[in-house]
Amino acid sequence: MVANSSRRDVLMLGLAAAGTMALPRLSWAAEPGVTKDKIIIGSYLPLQSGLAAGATQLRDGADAYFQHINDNGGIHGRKIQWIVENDSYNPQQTVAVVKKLVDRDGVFAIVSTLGTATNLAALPFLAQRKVPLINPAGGHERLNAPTDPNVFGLLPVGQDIGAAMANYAVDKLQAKRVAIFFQNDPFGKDPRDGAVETLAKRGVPVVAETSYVPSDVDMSAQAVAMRDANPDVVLMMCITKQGALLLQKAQQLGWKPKFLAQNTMGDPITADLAGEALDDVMVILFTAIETMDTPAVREANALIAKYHPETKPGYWTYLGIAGAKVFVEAANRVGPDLTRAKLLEVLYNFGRYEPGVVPPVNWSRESHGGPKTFGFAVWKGGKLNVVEGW
Amino acid sequence: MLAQLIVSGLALGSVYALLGLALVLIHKATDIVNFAQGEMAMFMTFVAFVMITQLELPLPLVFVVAPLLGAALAAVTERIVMRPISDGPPVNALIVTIGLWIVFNHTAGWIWGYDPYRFPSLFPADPVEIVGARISPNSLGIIAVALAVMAGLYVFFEYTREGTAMRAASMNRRAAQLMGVNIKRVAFLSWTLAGGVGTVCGLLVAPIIFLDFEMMVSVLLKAFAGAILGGFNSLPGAVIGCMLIGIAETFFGGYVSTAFKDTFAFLVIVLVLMFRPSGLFSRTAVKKV
Repeated sequence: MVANSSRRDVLMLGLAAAGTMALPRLSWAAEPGVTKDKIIIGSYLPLQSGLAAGATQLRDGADAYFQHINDNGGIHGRKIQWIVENDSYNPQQTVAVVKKLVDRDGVFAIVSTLGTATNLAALPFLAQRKVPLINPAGGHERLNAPTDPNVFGLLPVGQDIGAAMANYAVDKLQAKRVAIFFQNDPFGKDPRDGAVETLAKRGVPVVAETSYVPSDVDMSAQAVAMRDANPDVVLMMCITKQGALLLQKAQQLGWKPKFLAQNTMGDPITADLAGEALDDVMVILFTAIETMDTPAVREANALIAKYHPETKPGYWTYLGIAGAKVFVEAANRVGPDLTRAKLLEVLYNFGRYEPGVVPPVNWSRESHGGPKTFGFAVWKGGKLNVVEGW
Repeated sequence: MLAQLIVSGLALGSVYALLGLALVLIHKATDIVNFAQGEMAMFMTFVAFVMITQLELPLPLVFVVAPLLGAALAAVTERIVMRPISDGPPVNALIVTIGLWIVFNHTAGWIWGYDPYRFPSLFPADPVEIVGARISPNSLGIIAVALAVMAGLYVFFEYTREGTAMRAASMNRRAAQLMGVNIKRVAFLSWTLAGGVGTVCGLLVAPIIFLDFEMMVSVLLKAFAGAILGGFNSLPGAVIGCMLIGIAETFFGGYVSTAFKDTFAFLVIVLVLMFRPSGLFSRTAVKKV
């Protein structure tokens, strides 16, 4: 009994000693990821997957902006080191790499990531460690209208995109009969729901709805069914490939309604795929396009040309830059004494901020998600031209 | 709407039929279902794309060269990968073809990336007015090429020595072997033919669905459905089955719902396997006792 208890005491003593030795490192260590001359931040991207092309562009965009800031003295004298890990668009891998980033690399924040399922998988861990997550690109409310206090989204909620498309169709395109073409999953359904609700409120009938799944490669049935309903405006909540297929079918049928499509159809690749069928198709914008003639877009284009000339400016590059810009702006506002708590406090009081390459955000403690205002553009001769800025 | 859907359906069905033929060719001769058929076709279509865009070869020439290369790729695959395991249990071969699917798919993604490309068509896309329906010459061209390939296969099987040997082998392998038919050579030939036919399918379908690393996945699924509908061992059966799938799918999408258009093929596979496992056209084998 005695021996037992003394052995336990020794054990406790040992633990306590170990604890006290560890303690100073924990409590007096500087903020994770912030050293005298460096701020270490991280990101997880699906650099090997179907999303690889977008992920690479997003990485190059953000990286160009960070390099630009570093070349101009950094943030209050500290250079940014941005560690990018590949998660292959596999949520399990995301969880592993995000732990590696936070625990081993000790990143200060996570900036500009990509992938709905992968981001959602990382949220609980990041919330528990109170690591700021800025610009998680994906299509989910928890990313685009986040309630987690450490998450700040730059992409709009699907329903808001659909509502804005419907309003534009009614107000600017004088829609009297609307058809909706959508991808049959949350990516297409959320904006579809927003559009249907808005159109109902505004008393404009939805005369046809057709959908597809991403593996579907023949859009003739969809095109014929919508044509026969005779709409004057067709809203397209789809990805580039199927959108281009539908437009080609419509052209073959000699059917010419006004098309208003989600921003995915603004990707330069759309012009290669759809060719002439793309003429006069309108696109809703929530990132800049290359031809936008504003100082922010000109600067972004110049930075990409300088630091990543192999990458074309486009949706993903601008989105990557937007996340980087928000982080740099917030860290600058905090001042030389950078901590996570202070960064969050600054972001809660961010107010209206215009990254320029995405619509303005208006962040407060209650609301720190994507924009509610959008731009619109139209395709003409293989070029996308802005009709209305945000 | 009716004429439009029929032509679209037939064009789509012709594409499925070519891949269905490739599947049945190999299955008849070797009892192996080549799950990699679609991906091999996709891979060769990328090779054809390189010939067009980088070597700047004329399109008609590519349509001749690419299927030959596709046949060569399949022949090499048979010799290197399939023949060594041809004496093992059939499930091994099945798993190997699924492995080949993944290998071709990832290799294509690795080499050519994951973006879709526009693939030039041999036929003009601008539609012409035929009996009130706007029909794209491309659809008609696809149907014509597919029919030509089928006619070629028919002549080969009916009127050539090799074709006769292959038919004999598929009817009764052991008897054919006893009669001096080289079974290994039949397997080799069937893979080679299937590789060529599959590549023609890829070249025809790429202009209408765009070229990317996953373009053949849904085509393969439909080709399976069509081939199963036709009994999986009959070449004409596969053609008719695939045409039916193409038309039925387009009609279902046009008149019922586009939301379940793709599910339709799965439904056909399940229903046929439940009620007519040997296909719509086969006579049930009756054994006299």
